[in-house]
Amino acid sequence: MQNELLDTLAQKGCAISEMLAETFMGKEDFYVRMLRKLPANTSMDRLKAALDANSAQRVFDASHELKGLYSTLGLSPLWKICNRIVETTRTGSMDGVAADVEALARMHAEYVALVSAQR
Amino acid sequence: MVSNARGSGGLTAYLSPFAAFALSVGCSVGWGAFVMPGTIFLPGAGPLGTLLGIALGAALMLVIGMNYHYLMQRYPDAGGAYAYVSRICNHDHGFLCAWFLVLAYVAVVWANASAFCLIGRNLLDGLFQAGGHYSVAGYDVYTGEIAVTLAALAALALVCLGGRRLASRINTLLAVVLLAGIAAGLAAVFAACPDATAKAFTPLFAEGTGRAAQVFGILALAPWAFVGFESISHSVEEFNFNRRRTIWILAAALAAGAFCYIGLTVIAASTVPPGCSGWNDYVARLGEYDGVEGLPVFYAVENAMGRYGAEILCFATFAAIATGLIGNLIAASRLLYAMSRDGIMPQWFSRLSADGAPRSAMLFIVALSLFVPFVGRTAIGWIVDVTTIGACVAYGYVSYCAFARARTEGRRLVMASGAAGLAASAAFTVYFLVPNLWSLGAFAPESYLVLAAWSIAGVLCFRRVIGMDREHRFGKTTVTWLVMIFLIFFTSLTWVKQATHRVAGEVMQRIGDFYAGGGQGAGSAGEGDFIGRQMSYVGDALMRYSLVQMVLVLLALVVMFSIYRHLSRRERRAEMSRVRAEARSRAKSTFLSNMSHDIRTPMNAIVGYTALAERAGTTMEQMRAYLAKIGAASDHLLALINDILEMSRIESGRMELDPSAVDIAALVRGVYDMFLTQMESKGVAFSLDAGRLVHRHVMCDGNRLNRVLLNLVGNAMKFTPPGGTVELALAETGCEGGRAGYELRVKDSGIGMSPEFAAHVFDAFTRERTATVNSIEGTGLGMAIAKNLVELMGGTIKVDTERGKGTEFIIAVDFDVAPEPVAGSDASEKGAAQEIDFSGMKILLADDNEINREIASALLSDAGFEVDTAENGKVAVEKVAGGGPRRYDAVVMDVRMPVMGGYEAARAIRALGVEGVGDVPIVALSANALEDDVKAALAAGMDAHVAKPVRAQVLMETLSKVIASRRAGGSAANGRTEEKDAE
Repeated sequence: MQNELLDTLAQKGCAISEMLAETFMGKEDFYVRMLRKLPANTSMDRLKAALDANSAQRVFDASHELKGLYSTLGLSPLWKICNRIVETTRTGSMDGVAADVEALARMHAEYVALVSAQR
Repeated sequence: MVSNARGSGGLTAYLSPFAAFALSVGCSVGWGAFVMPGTIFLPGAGPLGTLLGIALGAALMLVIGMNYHYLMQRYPDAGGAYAYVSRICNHDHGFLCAWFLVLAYVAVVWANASAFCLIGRNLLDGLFQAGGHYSVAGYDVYTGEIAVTLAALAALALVCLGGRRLASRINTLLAVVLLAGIAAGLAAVFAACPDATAKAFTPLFAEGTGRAAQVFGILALAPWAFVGFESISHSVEEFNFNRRRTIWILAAALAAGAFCYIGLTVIAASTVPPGCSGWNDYVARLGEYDGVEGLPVFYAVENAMGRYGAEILCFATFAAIATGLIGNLIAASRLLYAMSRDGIMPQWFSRLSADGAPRSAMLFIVALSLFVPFVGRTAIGWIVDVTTIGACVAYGYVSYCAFARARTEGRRLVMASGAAGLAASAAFTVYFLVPNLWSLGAFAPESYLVLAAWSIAGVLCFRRVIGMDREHRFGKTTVTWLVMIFLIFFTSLTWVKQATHRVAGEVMQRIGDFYAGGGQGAGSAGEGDFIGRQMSYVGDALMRYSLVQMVLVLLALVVMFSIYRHLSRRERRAEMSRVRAEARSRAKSTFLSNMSHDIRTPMNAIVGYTALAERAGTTMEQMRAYLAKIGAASDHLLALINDILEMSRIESGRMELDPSAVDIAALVRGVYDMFLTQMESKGVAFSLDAGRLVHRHVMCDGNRLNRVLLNLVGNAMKFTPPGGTVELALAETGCEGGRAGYELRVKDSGIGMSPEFAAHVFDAFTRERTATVNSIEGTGLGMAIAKNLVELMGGTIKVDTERGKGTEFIIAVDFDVAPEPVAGSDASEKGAAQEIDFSGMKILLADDNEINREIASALLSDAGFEVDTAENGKVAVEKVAGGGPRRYDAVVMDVRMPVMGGYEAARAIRALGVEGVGDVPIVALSANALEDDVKAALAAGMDAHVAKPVRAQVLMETLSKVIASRRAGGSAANGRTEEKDAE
């Protein structure tokens, strides 16, 4: 890959090649442009607020939205944690969700920093 | 586990230290404290003997209290003794302990409920003895008294409904009234006799037995006198203070209880009616007095304070009864609640009211007590007698548990208190249980019968608990049976002995009266008749009692046998499960070992060829060859992983069939075609016989049936050497009621199987260990998957094999016959799948997520669409509805959106109805791609479902299909389009 950001993300275990080929039609610039929109996305704030309110339904809604976003952007490590939150809260349970949300928020912040920093 | 409910909607803290103290005192002091001084304490041990006996008894109870305190710190659970015993011993012991503790608490509730009438009888000139009456065991039961007792129970139910805090406040207030009333009476007695000295209480001991024996006799009453002081152990979850303070509360409660008993005894001994020389003379002639004079405590206070004083004491008595009623109800309800929470009582008992009280358990006990008013005090007394046994059993268990737990922690003081408590409880049990061993009295014969009946009820309940015990917590020791059966034998035998003794006494009395009366027209014939009648009276009674005993014992033995049989079966099942689990574990280990080999082989190929490809100087031709090998190894690895995932889905019951109209002959032909070239390459003769069909089109899950055949034919090819034959055959075996039967056979002339392995060929994770098989790749899951799929279709699969001769798999399965397809429909299907030029087409994309929207928009624009967007379902519906017919050629709709979701929006669009508007093709987009999600999308009127992340090719193929289908005038609703990578 020509782009440094995509390379870095691929090294972190993201499904960059697959998504580049199948979704972004090989357009690295377009892919990077979409990745750079991640910091402006507010779904993570909604997820945190839902956790603070201890509402399994709201956590499910917010994490489900994030899951779709992560899968579209090929951010597999984030997707894995998010998927766990979705599956737990799908049944109305909140077992272990707080720890997962915390881990996801931390990792999300790392990725946001990464896509914001790298040009 | 016992305390798991804590913190998850269980009992909550509300009880203050003083309220806990009031609960403890209230439970242990009742009506008996006001009567016993004249009937038991003074005649048995005199004032000083009572003082010493009660004080020592309280000290001994405090030792047991220390054991409770120690365990309460470690197991703060509403189950109290039941929880400690279940955890430290086992659930069998826990059940035994709980069974007797329930008896103790509930019986004390009954005793107090029936005691209100006694106030009326003894202190209010028989105020409640109104209306008609009948007699039970010599006790006259009056309608008025029944009404009073029912009213008391109704008041108790109202207190329950009023909530925990109300009950606690009332209980605390009543405990204060009780203690203040007794203190006032004591002060009044001494004030009225300022010169009262030890002389007024002489003699200090009773006459007859030795002083030590007198003190010991009172000491032995401690479990009866103080039973209930430990009831706060059931409320420990509800303490709003540090539970380390519990020991001080227990000590204060025992001191207050001792004060009540000693104070009332002192009051009783202080004053005697005219004509009595002293307290000893008064209690000896107590039967001659009635009303207030028949109750020395009340007589003394009335004498000192007048009617006003008697009324104060009357209030104190009422308070003692009411606190006993409320306190024991609280304790019993918490115990039932804990047992229910632990799964040995129905779940109903663990329901809590809005303020966190186990109201269902409380109301149950009140309802259970409704019979009390009708049977009279004597009969209730038989039940109440055995509370002491119940308490002693619980005290013994708790002391043992404290000892056992303290030993693991090296706590010597608690070990000592545990040992002392256990020894004292055992001694008390023997004293109370063995008649005439205790000099101050013995149980009524009927009390033994009650105990026997309670034990039989216990074994019946234990049988039910064992039957419901899925976790196998019960039935680990035989102690519960042995204790219960011993009690049933012993108590029923003792009942027969005591009852017969009583009958013999009556007969001796009659004979004595007969001869004292001069024989009543004596004569040898009359005398002989009389003696004969008396003898047959004794004989009949003995026969009656023996019969009852025999029935009780027989009943117990039947239940015991049932328990034994159940446990034997359970053991057998457990053993079989263990053997099966071990076999399965071995099979899985073998499988994992095979898998590690099978996975490593393609992985090594991938790693190796990748390394080769990365080497400098690799030519393009070499690179292509390496990539081809990497691709082949990857395909194999994928197949392996798919097998494992499919097996996992089948085993977890998540596999569902998706039947549709299938040409079964074409399906089998497809399998044949797929393998034909490979068979020919290997030199295996492959034949197909599918000509004998009446119904070719059936409703079945074609993909899954295909999977089964691929497995069977693939195996046949793998295990048939060159020169061999493989035959694939399909035949229709009959048709009835629209269902046709089919037989599918896959026969080879390959290596065959050993009979031992053939028996397990369909088990998961099994492969035969032979040199030939080991050299052939496989997961050992193919046959298991095939069998599970066939069974899911309602069919059967069997194998006929012989080593070296070959193998034949035979599938028999029925399918619903599907209608013959209309000529030309194939063409439209093909047309629908054709590529379409999207240039100039308008599409509406609804997705709330900006990034997803932008990516999908780019994909669609790139394909030639003019893309319009909507950020939620509502906007999408408005855009479709507002644009006139055929504004959009298709809609791509995210399922989960704010304001209005995709499903709802799809329904709203379909509801528009106008041609070219309401029938616009809609493709669902969702991060979910489970069967249910696809079905939900179709049910909402959508035409197809595409899983996220969106793949350009998949999305375009789907849109192509749905748009073409709509143009051809049909619906492209063929369900799932893409499920891999989903979720």
